[in-house]
Amino acid sequence: MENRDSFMNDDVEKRVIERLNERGRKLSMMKKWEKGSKRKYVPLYSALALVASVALLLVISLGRENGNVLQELGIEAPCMEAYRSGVPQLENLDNLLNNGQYYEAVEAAEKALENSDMLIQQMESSRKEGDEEWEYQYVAEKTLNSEIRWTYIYALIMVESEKMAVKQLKKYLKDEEYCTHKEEAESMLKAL
Amino acid sequence: MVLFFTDRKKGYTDAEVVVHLQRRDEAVERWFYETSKRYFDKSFNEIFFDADRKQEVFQLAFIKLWTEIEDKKIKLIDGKLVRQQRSGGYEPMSCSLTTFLMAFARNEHREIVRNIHEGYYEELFDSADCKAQAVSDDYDDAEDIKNRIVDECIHEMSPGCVEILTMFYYEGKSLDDIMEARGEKNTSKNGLKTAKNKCMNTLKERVIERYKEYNK
Repeated sequence: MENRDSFMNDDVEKRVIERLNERGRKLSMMKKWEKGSKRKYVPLYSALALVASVALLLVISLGRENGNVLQELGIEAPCMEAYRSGVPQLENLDNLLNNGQYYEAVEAAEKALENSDMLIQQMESSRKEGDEEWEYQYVAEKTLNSEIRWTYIYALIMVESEKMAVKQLKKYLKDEEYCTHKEEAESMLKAL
Repeated sequence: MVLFFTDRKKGYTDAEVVVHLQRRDEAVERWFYETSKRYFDKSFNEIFFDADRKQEVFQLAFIKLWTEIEDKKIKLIDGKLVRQQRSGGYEPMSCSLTTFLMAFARNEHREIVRNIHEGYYEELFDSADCKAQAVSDDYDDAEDIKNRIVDECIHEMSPGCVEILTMFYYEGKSLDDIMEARGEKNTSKNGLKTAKNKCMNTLKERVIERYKEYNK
């Protein structure tokens, strides 16, 4: 390993400027992407709005006799991929959904939810004011809990357990702060 | 709504994101930025004064996460994502990168609100010192450690200092241009010059101090 002391003597300022420039580079890239994404999505959103209007008209005119509420609302299967690191249970849940094993997915989601609920309870009982690490973990677990419930709701609807889905939707919407799919959940609740 | 699910399926896993970001793959950097932004817009329900403030919170949180990944505070070991703890050791990550982003955003938001109440630009350096973080010796090389220490100290600087130093060093702006860009935040050119030097000197001192602690 190189002589660590040399850092203190000569290249601190150089390194600081280098890292400030690196930070500046990141900011510039973010600005560029921001502009690009606005341009990219304008036509997409217009097209989506048009498609949505036509779809809505179709739904109104045809009623609900064909297809379930998920199709009507254009809600696709949830994916737990973003939350899976370190939680094999969630990988299994994803696989079950992808393979169309919805009854098994309901069971797997129930178990995952139960574990997460327990963990949240434990965390709440050991809360320490101002503990940043605790805060990270708590927000993380609450977000994960909400996402599992959303997946659970999806699986419940797929097995036509609508009564339970309604109950879970109400529960899901209660925790508004962590509710990523609020609008979809509200429309779903209305439709059910 | 549909986009979120669809993008996740067509996109990258957290592990892939970390690997590509450490290789500076711009396509993945952009994908991660846009996916995170959509997630943030849907999930972050704090009260904002305006859209600019919301964008500021997102950018600060995203830069922190991005830098942690590039500096290998978050990395892949034996196929598992791990994150460096305050103790210096690494623990497997129990939640996703987007969840970390949200936690960072909440902290940034709290910090901004606190700074507004205390006079946002009055104090050039906030009270948060660069606390020494032990780094285990079997970890990475000296270059990574130096970068990480500097990045941490930059992140802990006040927003005012970061703005002045970025404008001066990265954007290459003159003091006159910085004064114009910052509006009424600096009353005189001399004051701005002093502030810039103070920011840089304090930053260097903190970096050296933290590096010394690491070498103990």
